[in-house]
Amino acid sequence: MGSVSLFVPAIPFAMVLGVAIGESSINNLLGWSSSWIIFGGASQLTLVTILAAGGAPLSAMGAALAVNSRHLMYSAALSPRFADQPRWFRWLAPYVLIDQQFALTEPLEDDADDWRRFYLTSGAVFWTFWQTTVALGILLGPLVPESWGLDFAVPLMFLGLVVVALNRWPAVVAAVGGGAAAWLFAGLPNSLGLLAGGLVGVVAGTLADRGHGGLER
Amino acid sequence: MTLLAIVVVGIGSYVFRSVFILALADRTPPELVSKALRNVGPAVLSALVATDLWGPNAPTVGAPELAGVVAAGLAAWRTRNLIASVVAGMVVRWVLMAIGV
Repeated sequence: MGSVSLFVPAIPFAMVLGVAIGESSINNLLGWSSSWIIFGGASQLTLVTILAAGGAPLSAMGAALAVNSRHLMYSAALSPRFADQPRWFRWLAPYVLIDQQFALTEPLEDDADDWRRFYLTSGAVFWTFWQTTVALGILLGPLVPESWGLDFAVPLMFLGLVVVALNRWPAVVAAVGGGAAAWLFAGLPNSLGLLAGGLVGVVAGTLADRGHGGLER
Repeated sequence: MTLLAIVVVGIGSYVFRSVFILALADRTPPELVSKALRNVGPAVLSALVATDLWGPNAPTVGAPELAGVVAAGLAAWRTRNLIASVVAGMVVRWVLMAIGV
């Protein structure tokens, strides 16, 4: 099943977060609660790292929220898919709208019922795996030797997702523009480079779409 | 205080993820907006790859990593298979590191 294979590269990340919580002065149960209260690895890690280093709670919250602000774009991109969806699902679905969930469900062209079932299944799988592996990271510490460099699997996984979904010329332009701009702005703090890259990519892809009259490849 | 910070970030993240779904699901966006929205996936995920590799918290990226990225990209393009892509990238990086590139 797709979401299981997507979760494998996230395991070392969950371990890193678990170890960060375990080594910090933050109570383990409290640190773990961020996994189901926030449910977003990068922002959880940002929050825990800054708080554990004695940073001001306000700046920790600001940084953690900035990291998750890319989810605004996921929300906008998926909104047309919710036109035929029941109200309860519109309220529940955003809770699990993480990077992997977006990457997996956005390209699917299923009808509304099939898409909802797929979304719920993969969301439940991600959610359960995340709670479990972060807890394991807290309890068992660094099991995975750093020399394996398993965290390198995370960008590779997203790269694969992007490439596999490139079926239109404007999408290619969006991906190349977004990646190049994010690389240029990579030095900016708090994922600002990521946001800037995403915006540049969307604009570039949309301009390409107009320029070619929506050429389908 | 820590719990309060976690809850605030949790609520904020939910707001980010839900605001457009709840506000726009019942409206048909203009043609230009729906075209733009179809580019969000490739643009943001590709930017995510770049910040994972070169962002403030990224590990050093040298020749083995670049070769791994190229290998993974080619494998994804040729096979359309995600596992094959990640395995190709990881193996190329391990091999190059082992022979000391």
